[in-house]
Amino acid sequence: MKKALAQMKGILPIMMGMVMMVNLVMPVVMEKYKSLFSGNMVVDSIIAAIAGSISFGNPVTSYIVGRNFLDHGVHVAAVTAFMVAWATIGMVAIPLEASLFGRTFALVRNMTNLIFSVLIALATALTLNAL
Amino acid sequence: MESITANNTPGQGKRLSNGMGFFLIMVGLYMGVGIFDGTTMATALTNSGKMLVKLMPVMGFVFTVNALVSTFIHADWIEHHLGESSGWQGWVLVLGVSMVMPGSPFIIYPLLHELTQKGLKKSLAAVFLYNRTVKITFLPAMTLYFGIRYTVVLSVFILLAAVLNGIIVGNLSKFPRNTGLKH
Repeated sequence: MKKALAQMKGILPIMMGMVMMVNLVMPVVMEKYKSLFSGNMVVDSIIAAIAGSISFGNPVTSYIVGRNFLDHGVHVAAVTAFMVAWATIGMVAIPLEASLFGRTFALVRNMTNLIFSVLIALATALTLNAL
Repeated sequence: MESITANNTPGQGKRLSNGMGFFLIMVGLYMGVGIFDGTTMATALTNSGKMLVKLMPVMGFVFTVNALVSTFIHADWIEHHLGESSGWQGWVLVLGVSMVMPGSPFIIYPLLHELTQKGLKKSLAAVFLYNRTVKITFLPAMTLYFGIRYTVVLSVFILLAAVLNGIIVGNLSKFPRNTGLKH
C-alpha cells in the first residue's frame, strides 16, 4: 500500500503536466496537419508518423482524423503511419515513461516505434495494393 | 530523468523531483501564454481541469490495481511466467493480455512498472506497450472507418512489429541504474 501511494505521488505531477501540455499544444497542432502532406507516399508516411507521435488521445480519435485525411486525398500509407504512431509513440508521455522505466528504455522504444510506424504503413499500403 | 523510486529515496526529499519540475515548467508555459493570449490559456486550462476530473476515477483504479498486484502477485509468479525463464509462453501471454487489457498509459505504465519490479523482463514490457494498439475493443471502430480488409492487414503487421519491437528494445536498451528492469 505504501509503495502504491509513493508511486502515485510520483506520477501525479507528471500526469498533470502531460494533461496541461496536451490541452495547450493539441488544438494548434491539429489545425496544421492537413497542410503537411506532399503527395509522395514515403515522405508523407514519415511526416505523418512524426505528426502522429506528437499527438495524444484515444486511438479512436486517430481513426476519425485518419478517415478525414483519407477523404481529402492523403495516401493510405500516410494515414496508417499517422494512426500507428499516434497509438504506439508517446512523445508527450516520455517524461512519465522515462521516470518509470528509465530514459534509455523510453528513448529506444519510442524511436524504434517511429521507424516501425513508417515500415508498417508502407507494408500495409503495398499489401492492400497487392490483394 | 530519475526514477520515482530514486526521487523518494530518504535523504533526497528536499530535492525537487523531475515530475514536479516538469509540472512547474508547464505552469510557467501557461503563464507565458497567458500574457500574450489570455483566451487560449483560459480555454486550455479549463479543458485541462475537465480532463483531470475525468482522470480521477482512472487514478483511483490505478492505485487499487497496483495495491492488489503489490499484495497478491508475487515475484516468483512473474519471474516464472513473464521473466527470463518464461520462454515463448511469456510472449504469447503478453500479446494476448495486451490486446484485451483496457486502459490508457496512465493505467498501463504504473502497472507495468510494478510488474517489472517483480521480474517482468523489459522486452515483454515493450511488447505490452506496443501491442496495446491492437485492442479488441477498438477493432470494430477501425473496421467501421477503414473496412475489414485494412483492419486485418494492419493488425497482422502490428502483431509482428510488437514482437520485433520487444526483441530490439530488449537488446538495445542497456539499463541505467534507476530502472529495476531485467533484460
